Amino acid sequence: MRPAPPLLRLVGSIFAMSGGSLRAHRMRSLLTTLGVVVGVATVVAMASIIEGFNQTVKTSISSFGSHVIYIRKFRPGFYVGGFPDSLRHRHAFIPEDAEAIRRLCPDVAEVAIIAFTEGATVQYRGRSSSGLQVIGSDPQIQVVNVYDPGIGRFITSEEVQHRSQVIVIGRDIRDALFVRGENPIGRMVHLNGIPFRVIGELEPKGRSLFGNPDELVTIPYTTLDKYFPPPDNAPFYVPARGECYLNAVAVSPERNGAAVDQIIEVLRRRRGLRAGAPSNFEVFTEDALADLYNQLTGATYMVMILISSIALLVGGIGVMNIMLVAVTERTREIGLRKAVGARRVTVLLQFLIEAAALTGIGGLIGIGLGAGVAQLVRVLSKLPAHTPLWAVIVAFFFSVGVGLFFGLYPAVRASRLDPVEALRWE
Amino acid sequence: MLIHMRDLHRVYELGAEKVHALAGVDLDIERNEYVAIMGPSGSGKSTLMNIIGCLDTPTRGSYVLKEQEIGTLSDDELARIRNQEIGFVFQTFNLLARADALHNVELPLVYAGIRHEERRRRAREALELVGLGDRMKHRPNELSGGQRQRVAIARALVNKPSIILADEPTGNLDTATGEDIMASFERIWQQGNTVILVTHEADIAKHAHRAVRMRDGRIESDVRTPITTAARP
Ligand SMILES: Nc1ncnc2c1ncn2[C@@H]1O[C@H](COP(=O)(O)OP(=O)(O)O)[C@@H](O)[C@H]1O
Ligand SMILES: [Mg+2]
Repeated sequence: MRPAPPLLRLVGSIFAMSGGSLRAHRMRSLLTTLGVVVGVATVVAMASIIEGFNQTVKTSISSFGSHVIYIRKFRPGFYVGGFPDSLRHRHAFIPEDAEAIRRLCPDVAEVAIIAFTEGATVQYRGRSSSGLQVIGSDPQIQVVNVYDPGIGRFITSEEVQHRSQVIVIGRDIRDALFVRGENPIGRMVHLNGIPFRVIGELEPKGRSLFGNPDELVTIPYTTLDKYFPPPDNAPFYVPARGECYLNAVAVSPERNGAAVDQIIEVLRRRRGLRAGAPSNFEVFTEDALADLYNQLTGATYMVMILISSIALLVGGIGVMNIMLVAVTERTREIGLRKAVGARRVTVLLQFLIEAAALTGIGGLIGIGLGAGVAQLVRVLSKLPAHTPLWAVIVAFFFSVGVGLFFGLYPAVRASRLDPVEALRWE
Repeated sequence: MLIHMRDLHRVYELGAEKVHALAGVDLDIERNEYVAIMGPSGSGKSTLMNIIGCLDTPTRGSYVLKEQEIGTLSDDELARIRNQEIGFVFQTFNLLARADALHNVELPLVYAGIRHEERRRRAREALELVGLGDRMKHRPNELSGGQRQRVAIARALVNKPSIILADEPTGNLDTATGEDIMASFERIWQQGNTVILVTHEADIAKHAHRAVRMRDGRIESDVRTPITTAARP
């Protein structure tokens, strides 16, 4: 008697058979996989969007310089139950704080002053751009945040001293206000109705999570204080009148930790805090922002995993159900296949592959849908959403896995059918 | 000896009740015999056929097929014997509705692990043998009853089995078509195959050269009619 053929040699034919029966029930198969489609589409779309965020964060960190030390009233983060009043009433800093840090912290290379206001409008000859963030700063910000004037120049110390009405604009603002090819340098624009002379344009930096540098205008902080003091109802994160935030940079990246310690020490002394008393301000580096960002994406991923797990579970149960129906409907076929020599494992594989093909196709549709949504987001918002290859691969194998998992029970049932009984099935 | 059965029993347990579908069958069948199994409904013909065809195993007794005791084999070994040694023809044809004639015929070769081109070639040959060379791409619902049964016969033949088993192959066909099918079996037998068929029609049974009559799970009579030399090629 000849030996049984190795299973591997049958796999091609088994695949062909599975495909045939799926084609025979196109609509039913498609509906069954809806859960898988939704689950996979969610994962792929969300992963694409998060990937987009990742990219902006990367560019924003590299464009701000990755070693900026932030000196703020409080740390950015999630405040469960609302922002606490104790933090809300904290004071920001004053220009003298910057002076003291510069003088007393050997590991700090430079300190810059940052104040800002929101919702400003800039106009030039009937054209305007509104909803802008206006930064009030000093020449040091160039070093600290690695700002490059692409054309023109940055603010000088004299202009800070004289509260000059000079403005450095971002590329997008230039595009909004000036016709193509027009040199903006030296032009008078109106910022909330007050005339400013354009002295420079920042090198384009692209999209960023923390405000787009191309959509900023920068003026001397003294000028900001004079013309645009924050209103009484300004949000809590805007520094009060006469106050500001500080950005610092260490002499070298290795000295970052030491610089942070020195800044904390100087500020505590200036605020007269006793040893052991908690600080009423925060000094942190980009790592803290990265932590915050990871917290954010981590939470998003959790939600995404939850949604898609539920969808995949629903899809999986749907597949199990439809496969059980298929096994019943095709009892005679199974009996016949066994009668002509199909082994248990061959029947099992046929139904398993069928289930996996079903969810695999659902997965592919989901991947297409998710990637489509991501493209839509990319076009409609400015987020550079982009579908990562790993998400496609993971999504595909996961959907196939769902089919294998939920298809196993029906396939085992099929493989265990008694051929005589199965052939008599009506 | 191709088939050697001694004191074969098959008992179905329906709750407390026991149905002795086979109650002690002794049967020997040689290579290239043409046997008709007859008997009233419920006498155990199908049960016997299923055991001969290794679709089912006896509750008790011995069944030796080609020097191999069948009762002790595993499911997979039985599947292999069905694939290599047995060709089934059923009353209800049992064709795959979605597949064309060619694919239906090729099915046993798929499970035999034979490669695609070889499979196609042999399936075509088998279909030509039963006179369906021009219907290979037709699906069962595009074929008449007689044509469907001929596809099933081609399927039974395609892997060159030791035994062709047919359980009431003409039961669903009109008399003329039935005669047609019987002519096919006649030809198959003449080519050196062993044919065992179940029927309760004497007209059909007379094609065979041996008639085994069953009653209540036992063999009642076993009559050989001499093979006329005219019937042999
Ligand atoms: N799966 C089964 N369960 C219980 N009884 C069965 C089963 N199959 C057959 N029988 C019984 O065994 C006996 C023989 O049946 P069968 O071999 O089908 O007879 P035949 O083919 O000669 O009409 C009958 O009494 C039938 O009811
Ligand atoms: Mg019967």
